[in-house]
Amino acid sequence: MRASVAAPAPVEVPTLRRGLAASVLRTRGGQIGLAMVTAMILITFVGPLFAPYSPVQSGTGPPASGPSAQHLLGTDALGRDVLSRVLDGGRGLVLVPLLAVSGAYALGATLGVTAAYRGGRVDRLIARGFDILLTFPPLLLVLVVIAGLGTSVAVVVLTVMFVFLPRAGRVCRGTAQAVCVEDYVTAAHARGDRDAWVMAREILPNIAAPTLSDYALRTTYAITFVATLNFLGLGAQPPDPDWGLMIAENRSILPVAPLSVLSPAAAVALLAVGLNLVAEALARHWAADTTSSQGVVL
Amino acid sequence: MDQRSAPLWRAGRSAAVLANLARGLVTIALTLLAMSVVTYGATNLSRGPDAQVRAALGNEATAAQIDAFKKRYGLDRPLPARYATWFSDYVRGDWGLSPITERPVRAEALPRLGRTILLMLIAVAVALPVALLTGVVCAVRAGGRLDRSVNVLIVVLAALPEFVVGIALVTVFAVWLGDLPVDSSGLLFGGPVDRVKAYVLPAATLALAVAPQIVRLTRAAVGEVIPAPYVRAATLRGLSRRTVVSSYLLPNAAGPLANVVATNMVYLLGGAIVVEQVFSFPGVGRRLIEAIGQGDTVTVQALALALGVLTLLISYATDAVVRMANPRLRAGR
Repeated sequence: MRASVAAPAPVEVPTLRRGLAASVLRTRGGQIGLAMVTAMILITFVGPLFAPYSPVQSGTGPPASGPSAQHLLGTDALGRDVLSRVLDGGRGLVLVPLLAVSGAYALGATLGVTAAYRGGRVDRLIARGFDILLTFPPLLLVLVVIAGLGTSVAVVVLTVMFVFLPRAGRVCRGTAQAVCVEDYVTAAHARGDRDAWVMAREILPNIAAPTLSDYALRTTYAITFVATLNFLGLGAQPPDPDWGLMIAENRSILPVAPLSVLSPAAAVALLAVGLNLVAEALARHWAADTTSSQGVVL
Repeated sequence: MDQRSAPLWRAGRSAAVLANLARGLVTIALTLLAMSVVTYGATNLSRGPDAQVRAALGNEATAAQIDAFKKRYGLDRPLPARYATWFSDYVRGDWGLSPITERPVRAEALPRLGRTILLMLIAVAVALPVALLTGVVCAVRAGGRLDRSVNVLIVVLAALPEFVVGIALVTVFAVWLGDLPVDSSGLLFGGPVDRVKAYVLPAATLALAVAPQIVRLTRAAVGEVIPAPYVRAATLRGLSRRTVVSSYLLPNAAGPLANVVATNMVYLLGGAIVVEQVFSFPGVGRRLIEAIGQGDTVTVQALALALGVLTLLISYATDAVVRMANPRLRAGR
């Protein structure tokens, strides 16, 4: 494992960037996944411009009606246009998980690289800290925090970040451990570079590529997790047109107007599955066995 | 238990076993304590006594009413003191009185807890054999047609939130085919047949939620043993594939396999909370979500800790089974 992770020597860094797109596009799964993610991101950010109605306008048509010329995906229980709501309802599901996982990775990489570089007592302390955080069941932890603080975008981002912190930290630590024994780290050390400089300039760039697939995978799980919170009514609040919340709101009219539930469900599914396919393609490329053996997050 | 694990119970080893057991119990007690502190602390983050009073009495309560309410539920005391009383009552079986429903939390929760546990057991009983078998077959025929299609299925299923899987199953089996109920309210109001049917779709959803990871990790665990020299030797000696798999591969992959199962059982709990919400299943997870919405802090604290303990018990029980089944782990870490 060490050999495979350590193989990309600093010489290879320039080629990593080109290799990234190629590695995703080389497998059929990667191609399909990238197409799905691109489509969903376009729909999420450009789609609202094409929404036929306001996403929160009720009574635009008869309530809980099926598809028609005026309402391509029908209407929900309050007569709101389902298509307009689906087009408008994905931003939170893209941005919140991205923010949370990026935050978790920023903090996790700092702690993980420090642990791997310093070793000894610092390493044991940080590693033990990650282990303790990992013993809490994630959903339960987030539920009690939201029960205490109430919900808001900031609360959801921070708690989800907290859930993913030990997981990101462990991966960074493991990858950095293999890099720390490389000659170029010893060389940097020998020429008197400061510790912070060595970590930032020598170690961080060399763990970036192998950890990227894990970052993509964690983002997939974070999307699933945030969508679940919204579905449970603990994230986005009415009348927000959020996909998870829409499914919960229209659950009772599923037999009458199935599209009001199935279209947001399909949207969540396409986004999460697409990103997972990309993560899988990346993982296969870097053969980062760290991700495959870690197990699921939720 | 097979014969090979019999020496475990002989006199010479029993001291080590007892020491292990004691260490396990201490760890469980400490984790339980930590969980209770986190649960009580988190639920009091900003919704302190005042928020609890407002949730129960509304905003128009008079000062006298508020004081009486605080006194009645012990909210006039400082946080550490309230925690100590709460926790010592909790372990003795008094889970408090819900200020919203004005009923004892424990009496209301126990039947729900039973249904949630039954739901999890059914899901495991369905998912585990199927997932293990699929994982082993995929590993033995790595790269084959079955392996590739299972792989695609896993990537899709692992990314889907439980509630999307649940909605898909309801749409197909309840709305289109119409054989099963659209939700699990039959558990409360229906006859015996309704009650059985009420479990089918929630259990299937939960099984689909835990299965993909088990298949994936089983495949990896068994796949790691395949290149071993003794497997090659057995194959070269001309033993049948079935013998190689059952006598050489599986016993040697058993340790990691058991770990796979143990780590994935924990995810049942989060899954159960979501699945109960999808199907209006009258379990403890749905009540927890409902209580959070109502600002019923007493119920939230009691149920969250109960679910935390349940997770703890699941992971220690599976861990114990793993250790007993695997001689290499028996000495303990």
